[in-house]
Amino acid sequence: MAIPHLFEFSPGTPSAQDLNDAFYEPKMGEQTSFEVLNGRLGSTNLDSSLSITDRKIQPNCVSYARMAGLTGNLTYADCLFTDSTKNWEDFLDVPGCAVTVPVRMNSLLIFSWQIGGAVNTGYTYGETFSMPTNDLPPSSLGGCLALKISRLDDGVWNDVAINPVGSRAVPPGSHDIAWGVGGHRWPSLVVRRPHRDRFWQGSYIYHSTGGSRENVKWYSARIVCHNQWNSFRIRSRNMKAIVMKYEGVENSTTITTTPSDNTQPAPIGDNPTSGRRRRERLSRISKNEDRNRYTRTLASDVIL
Amino acid sequence: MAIDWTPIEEGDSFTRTDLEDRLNSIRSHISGLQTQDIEDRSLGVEVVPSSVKSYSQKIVKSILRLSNSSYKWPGFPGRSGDGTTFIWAQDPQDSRLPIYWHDEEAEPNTVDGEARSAWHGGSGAHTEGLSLELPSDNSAGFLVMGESNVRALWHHDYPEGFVNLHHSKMSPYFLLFSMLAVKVEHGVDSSSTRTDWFALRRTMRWVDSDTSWNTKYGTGGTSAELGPGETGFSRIYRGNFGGYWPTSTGSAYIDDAAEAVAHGANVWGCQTPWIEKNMAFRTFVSFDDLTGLYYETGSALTEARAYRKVKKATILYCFANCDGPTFLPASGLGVPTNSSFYTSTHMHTTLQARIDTRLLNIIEFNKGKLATSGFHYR
Repeated sequence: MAIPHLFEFSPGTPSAQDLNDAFYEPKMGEQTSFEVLNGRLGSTNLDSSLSITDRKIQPNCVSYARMAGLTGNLTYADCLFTDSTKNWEDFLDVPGCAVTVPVRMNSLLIFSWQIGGAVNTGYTYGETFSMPTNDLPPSSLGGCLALKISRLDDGVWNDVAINPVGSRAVPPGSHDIAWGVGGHRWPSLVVRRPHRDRFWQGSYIYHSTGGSRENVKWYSARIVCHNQWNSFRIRSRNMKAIVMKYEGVENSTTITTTPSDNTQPAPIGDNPTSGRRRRERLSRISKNEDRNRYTRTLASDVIL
Repeated sequence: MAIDWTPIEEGDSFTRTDLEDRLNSIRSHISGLQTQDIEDRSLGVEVVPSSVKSYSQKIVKSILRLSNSSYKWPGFPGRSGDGTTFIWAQDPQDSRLPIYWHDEEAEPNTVDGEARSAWHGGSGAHTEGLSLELPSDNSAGFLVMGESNVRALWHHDYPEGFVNLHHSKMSPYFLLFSMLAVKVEHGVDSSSTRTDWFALRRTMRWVDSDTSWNTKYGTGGTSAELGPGETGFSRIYRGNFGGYWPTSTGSAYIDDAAEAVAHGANVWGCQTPWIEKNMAFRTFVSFDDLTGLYYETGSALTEARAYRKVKKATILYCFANCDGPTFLPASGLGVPTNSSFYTSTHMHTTLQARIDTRLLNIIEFNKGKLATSGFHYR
């Protein structure tokens, strides 16, 4: 293993700069100080007679990964949620689509997930609701999904990325269990597109710095959901986290616009924000609101 | 050479050469390490180089509306709409390259002619400032993960004309395609280069409109049920095609449309544009993945043009209108002879799509971290 530089000082008393450069002088290209030992050894330092196989390297130094997954139906009834989509605390974690991973080096965290939404149906006549836009306006919503990433800082989970890649949705349908009531003539009027499966395969890169053996950083990435009006069912899902050592610079660009307009094309149907149904819903929501806030769980990992 | 760890006592003379000797003895010791000197599992996270050289992540959360009334779907290779053309990046220039922007500065937001390409670039979705040099031995490369969240796909025009014209044909069925394109600086060496865009067709994905194959043919007013094997459109007036059924018509039409939808029929006025579908791709790109692709001069990238550096990446989009007139009996009614969808180069109507989120993640790996034989991820 060749360290190319021969340490040689100018005659006289070595200056502090000379001494420091000998030990630590990181720079582009060829490294000429002992700093080269701090993860900067490259192929140029490798003597042809020296063979370093993966056996010499401790596991999980270059990269490692974790994954959680779950199949099976899980229905999120609207009563589990409050009315507001402004408050991200009201979004619920989806078990099986959440993973927690320790990070002990400067790394790229590559999160990758798949999740399938099966049903987003309202069981009342004539109600179709707005779907979320990227930044989730506070309008009434059917079932929708988003990504959340948290980090454990001094024993407290803090969100470090909320909805970074925009929300996804399952288009709504309706299925009135009381068709024929109220003068509606056709059952087809009240059974509209109740099953419209959708699948979301997503990815996101998070750049983590400052982690070390002595200061392990824990991250939790999870898909969260919200459903204000319908019955929202989720089927298969998984979340993967790949950690790859990365000593480079931050190079992430995110463009976030103002909340998208939701007017073209516009869904139609009874206005859920008016009338008796609205008042009933709000009354029910107000009773559940506090409970929801305190029963929220964090990253329910299910590893199969 | 052993390292002299003799302690330096207070008052000892320690000269410049003494310091050099000590440092160089450490250096020599490290440089003289042999394989057997390194214990298994001894190299930890502090000394192992990173496997990632660079990365770029671009997330665009803004509405991109695509509209297409004239650009024709280039077709599948060998099975294109008119059955005569091969129009992919791998094909010679005289076969109409679908991806071709020679201008080094211009972005592929627009195409320079229908004959050249049907693919549209999404404004603002490019990854900028890439410098991904691809060694010819494929010992390095980059991983691309992309996604387009298509929220709506619908026809723009009022449907009557189309319905009246094609009411006895297969139901209309729209597709929206996406594909990764990269801007490559290439040449025999780095001193003499040119820049071209290339598309990687293995990243092509598509989503369909929400409609159904079975259709219902009404003659006006409330529709009649289709008999077995019958095809056609239910003639529902246009109404608000942005919703789930017409709103500006009378209740009879609303009932009619709702009924038709419930029975799996395709109704223009009922066709919901909200599809909420995703086009995701993940692929690894190395030197060989660009070999054989043609560029503006009609020449193909060969091994001789061994210098290749990816400068930008983006996602392109293209519409296709699917119908099946060819497969129907001459009468236009009856059981189709081919149950598969047929992508047509004919664009009967203006299609529109709305994409809310576009995402491109690119991770460049360090040289030497990839197996040069055996497993090769595509």
